[in-house]
Formats: sequence, C-alpha cells, structure tokens
Amino acid sequence: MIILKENHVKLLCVMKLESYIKENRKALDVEKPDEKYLWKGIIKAVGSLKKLRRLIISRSAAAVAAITILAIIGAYFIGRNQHNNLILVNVDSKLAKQEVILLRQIDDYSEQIKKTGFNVDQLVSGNREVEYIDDLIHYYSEDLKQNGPNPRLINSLIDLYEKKILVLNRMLNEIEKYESHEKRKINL
Amino acid sequence: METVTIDINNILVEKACQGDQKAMFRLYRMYLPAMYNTCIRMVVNKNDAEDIIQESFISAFSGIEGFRGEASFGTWLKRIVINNSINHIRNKKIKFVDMDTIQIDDTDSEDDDLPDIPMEVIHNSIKSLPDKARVVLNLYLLEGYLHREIALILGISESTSRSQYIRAKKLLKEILIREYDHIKGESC
Repeated sequence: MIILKENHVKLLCVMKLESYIKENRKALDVEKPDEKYLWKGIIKAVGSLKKLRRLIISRSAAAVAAITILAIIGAYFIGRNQHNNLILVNVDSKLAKQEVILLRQIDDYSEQIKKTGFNVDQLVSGNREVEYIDDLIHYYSEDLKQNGPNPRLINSLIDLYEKKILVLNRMLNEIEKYESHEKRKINL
Repeated sequence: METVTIDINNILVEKACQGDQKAMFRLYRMYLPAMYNTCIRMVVNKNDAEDIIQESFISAFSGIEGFRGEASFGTWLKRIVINNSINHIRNKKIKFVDMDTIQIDDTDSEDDDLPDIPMEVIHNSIKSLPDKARVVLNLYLLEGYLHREIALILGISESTSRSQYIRAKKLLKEILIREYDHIKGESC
C-alpha cells in the first residue's frame, strides 16, 4: 500500500464513495505498465499469426484447386467412358433408356458366360457372330457420331443390340448343355 | 467555414485492419493505460495483468477484421480485456457462488461520507479487496455493467451480485478509513 503524505490527503469536501469514484473514474488509472516490453510481444505474435493465417489460406486454396482439377479430370474421363458406351444419349431420351437396358442385359449375359470359365472358341458360331455384331455396332455408332441422328441407323443399332442378346443367350444355353453332357459322361 | 470532423479512431482502426503496424501502435498507446488499469484492478498481480493485456491486444489486432464498428474500438477492446481477466480468475479456481442467504448490512451506505482521498489510494484499496467482491465492484462501479449483466457473466444470481457489491463497498470504505486514520496519525 502506498504511504500517503499529509499534503496528498485533502479534506476539501466530503463525498459519497460511489459518486466520488464515478466522478474521478479516469484519474483512477494510475498504474503504468512496461509499454515497450508489452508492445514487442504483441507485434511479434500478431506478425506470426498473420503469417500462419496466410499460410493456411494459401495451402487451403492449393488443396481446393487440386481437388477441383482432379474432379474435372475425373468427370471428363467418366463422361467420356459413358459417352463411348451410350451412343443414343444425345439422340433421344427414350431411345437412350432403351439402350441402357439393352446394354445392361448384354453385360449380364457376358458376365454369366465369363463366370462359367468356358472357352467360347469351342462354340460353333456364337463368338464369331458376337464379334461381327460388335463390328457393326462400332460402325453404326461412328456413323451416328459423325453424321448425326439417322432413324434407320438408330433402328439398326437397337436391332443389333437385341441380336447380340439373343446370340449371347444362345451361347449360354449351349454352354449349359455342354456342361450337363460332360456331367452325364462322368456319371456313366 | 465548414468544419470537418475526422474520427481519428476510425482511421486508425481501418489502417490497422490493413496491417499497418504504426496505426496498431497508436491504438495500443491510446488504450493501454485504461486497459491495463482495468485489468490489474481485476487480477491484482502485475505479471498476470501484463500477460492478459498482451493476449487481449494480440486477439484484438489479429481479429480486427471482425470488429464491426457497432461499438467504439475502445469498448470492443475493453470487453476482450474484461473477458480475459474473468477467464483468468476462473482458471485460478475462484468460484463465483450464489450467496443469497448471507445478509449484509447496507444501512449506512447512503449517508456514509468519505474525505477526498487520492485516487492512487482508492485504486490500491480496490486491489486489496477479496476476489469475488473485487470483481463485482470493478464491473459494476468502474465498468458500468448492470447487476443483471454481471450475473450472466459470472454465472451467479442478480441478488448475489448485489450482495457482493454491497460487501465490496463496505470493505472498501473500511480500508479507506483505516488508511486515512493511519495518515492522520502519521501527520500529527
């Protein structure tokens, strides 16, 4: 506690404590801190915080840019692959739906044949027919891409898909017959 | 001739927002005495007060973009200082508990007059008050908070805030009278 000298204590007026303090509020700020020492710490911390914030912002921006680029590249390739498979998507939405259904059926049959592990070259005509149909699908597709929608070609393409399904179905039946025949042979 | 009033404070804040260290320093020098004295009256310890002041200026300058100008920069900064001071006191495990059952006699508060005492003595007397009473007195009498606001900040009831304030005022008067008698005795 500060020791008061007599001349500091003025009994000029008597006041209530609350109002006295309120009236002299500003004069109450009597202590002086080490201004220079405190400032050094403040400005150093503010500088490093700003640097850190800038670093975080630049790194975040770089990460966002990288993700965007990857997304664009991914979307481009996915779109390109889908576009390769779906020829009628740009012609007509109904035909496109039909194409999707037919291609799904083709994939299902091809998958089933693959699962049997049967050498399709042993089949009499199936595999050659499939190859021939695939060539035609490729040929018609290219024509449609280059020259735009052509009703005849579109119908032919749908027809080719259906034919391919029939051939694949026949191949699958043939494989099943062959396998059951083999089993019977073993049993005998 | 038309007088153009330029708010120097706003200009300094704008410049500080842009990272101008000179503007930051001017704001710092302008507000340091008031902030430091407010803080030290709350936490008492010089080193703690310096740490809190540094921390408060750092968070104010590094988050100055978030200052919306709804209140003055000084008011905004003082809120940071007071919040940091209260957090510091809380970390010291000082609990602000309700004391509704405690009866404090405040009958003489209205008529009890005090001699004119140097502000330095009042400042130090406030610092010597018990923690809880000191915080409430600082917030109510010196910082202009309402008992409702103090209750919210400290997590106590409004009546506890009032009781603590009355207690603080009574203790402060006692300390000041003791100081006055001591000085009087010395001077005789």
